[in-house]
Amino acid sequence: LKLQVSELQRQKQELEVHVEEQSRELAAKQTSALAIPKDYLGMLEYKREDESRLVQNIILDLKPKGVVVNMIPGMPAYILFMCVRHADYLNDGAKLKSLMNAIISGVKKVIMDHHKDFEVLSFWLSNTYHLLNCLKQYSGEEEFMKQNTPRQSKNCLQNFDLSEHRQILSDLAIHIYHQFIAVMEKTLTPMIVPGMLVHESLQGISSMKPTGFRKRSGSIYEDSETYTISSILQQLSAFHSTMSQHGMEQGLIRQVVKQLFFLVGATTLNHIMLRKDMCSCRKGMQIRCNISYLEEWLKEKELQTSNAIDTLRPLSQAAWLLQVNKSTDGDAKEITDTCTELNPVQIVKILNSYTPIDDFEKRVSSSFVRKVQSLLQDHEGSTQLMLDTQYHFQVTFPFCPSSQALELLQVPSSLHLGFLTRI
Amino acid sequence: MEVREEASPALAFEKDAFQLTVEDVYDISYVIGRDLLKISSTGEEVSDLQFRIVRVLEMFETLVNKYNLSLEELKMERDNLKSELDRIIKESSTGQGTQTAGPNQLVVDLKDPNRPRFTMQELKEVLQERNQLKAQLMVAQEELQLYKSGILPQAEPAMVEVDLEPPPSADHIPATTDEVKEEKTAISKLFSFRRKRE
Repeated sequence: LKLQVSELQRQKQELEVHVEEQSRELAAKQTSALAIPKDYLGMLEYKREDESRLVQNIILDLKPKGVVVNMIPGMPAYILFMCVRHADYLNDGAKLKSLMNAIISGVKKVIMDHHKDFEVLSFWLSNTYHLLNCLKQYSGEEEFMKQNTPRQSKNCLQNFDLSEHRQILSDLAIHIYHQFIAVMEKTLTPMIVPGMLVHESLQGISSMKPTGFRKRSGSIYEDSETYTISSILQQLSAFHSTMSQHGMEQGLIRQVVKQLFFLVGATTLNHIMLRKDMCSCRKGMQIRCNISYLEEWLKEKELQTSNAIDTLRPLSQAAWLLQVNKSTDGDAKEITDTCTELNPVQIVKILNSYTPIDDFEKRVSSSFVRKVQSLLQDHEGSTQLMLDTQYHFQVTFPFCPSSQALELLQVPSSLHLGFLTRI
Repeated sequence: MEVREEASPALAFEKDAFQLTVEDVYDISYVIGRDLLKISSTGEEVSDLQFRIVRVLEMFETLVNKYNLSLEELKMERDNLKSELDRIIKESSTGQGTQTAGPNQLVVDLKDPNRPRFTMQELKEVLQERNQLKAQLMVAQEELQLYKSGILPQAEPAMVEVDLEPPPSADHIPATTDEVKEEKTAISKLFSFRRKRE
């Protein structure tokens, strides 16, 4: 153990020397910087032959977690754009075109190589969107320049129009988005039915024999690991935290959350349609409780404007339907008035599947069902019992200008881009 | 209902310096970056500061990484040495029952019925005795032969008394039967000489 201590001490000394050297270097750099205050133009110069090295270091090999990208998440996008600006500044069309193509192929490659990696997908979705915004903000097109500072307007591209490349980049962003959603859906799906329907978090309810699916043979979770509503919320929080850390635009985060909430609602509702034992008053209460937790979560993350909660409305109405009285004419009217997000096929199915929890409760009479059906006669619309869980809202990438002044950006050494020259 | 909070990145600030991992350094980077944004959203005022902090955190990342790697290496070495030591201790404790023989020594099992028991000297003496006895036996046999064939009359037992003295000292033991034969023939010559005289 003595040996270890002396070894560590020796190393500590080595490191101390190293740190001293570094801080001396840094001080030297600072003094030189102070001595010659340079007015930077916010561009990065690179040699044509360094293009592949650039793509390699800033796209392919870049880890989604690190000192630089954690502090300044959009850094890769800015660096790439500053190189684009310089190629444009040189009026070198070939160089510019080559760079744009290299960037697009590079991002495509990194997505393909990590198509199941949630962090990488999130990181590049965020940065591709940032780059897209940069290309618009500095395109010189009026509509994108409205919030520019004078300096920023001066930095617009001088010679080339990159709107075609913007289009390609936009398509790439959509592709990344769908891949990203797919990965999250895959993670979330096994939690949905157990967490939303099966697990009984409400206390004080007479416990019936737990309905199946608590243990699936050969599945990823053992006896002790049943998914609950907390599991779902935790997973959503994990997704949200990563997207935030990568500096993803809020608008995009909101779209993602809405899509995920839709999945939760649709999957749960479809399951109710299939299982008679899920059609009880108690389950209805449990579902409404879980929905309120999801709503709380949205408030906590300040995502109310995402309208994600709207996607849960069909489920919410189904849960209400399970709880409400279903005997009188008045009840029938109320049902048809309230369940606006459910089609007649679905309403009837729920009524017919309704299972009383004890002997005192009666099943829904067939005459009542007929009454409801007659009231819904004029309803047009879908006759589908099940919702399409694969339905995806169309993603949009609205323009979001950045207030970042490009001249102020420096290239940190840990990105290994020493071959770039700050102009 | 309580929703368990995820491990917050800010927790990294509360860790002991020697327990830090590079992941913690990244969490620290994130929190500081966020705090800088609060000061100035355009980044004008804090830009230099921001990049100096980036530099410091890069150095910090390197140090933490190096420290943890060295720690791991040392631990592994220590564990290897420990197991070596244990192994050696075990070996030496089981090895005490056996003795290794010297270069010119023989290990004898005292229960072995075929173990060597006699010295060279003892063996030599026994062999000498045997050889003497053998020689005497041969003389006696030849004498008997002579008697049987009538060469030697029985009436003259005195003549018969060949002086078969106890064999001379150990120095003069006939090592081979050839010498015994020579003695024999010498004796028979004696006898034949006597007969002729009569």
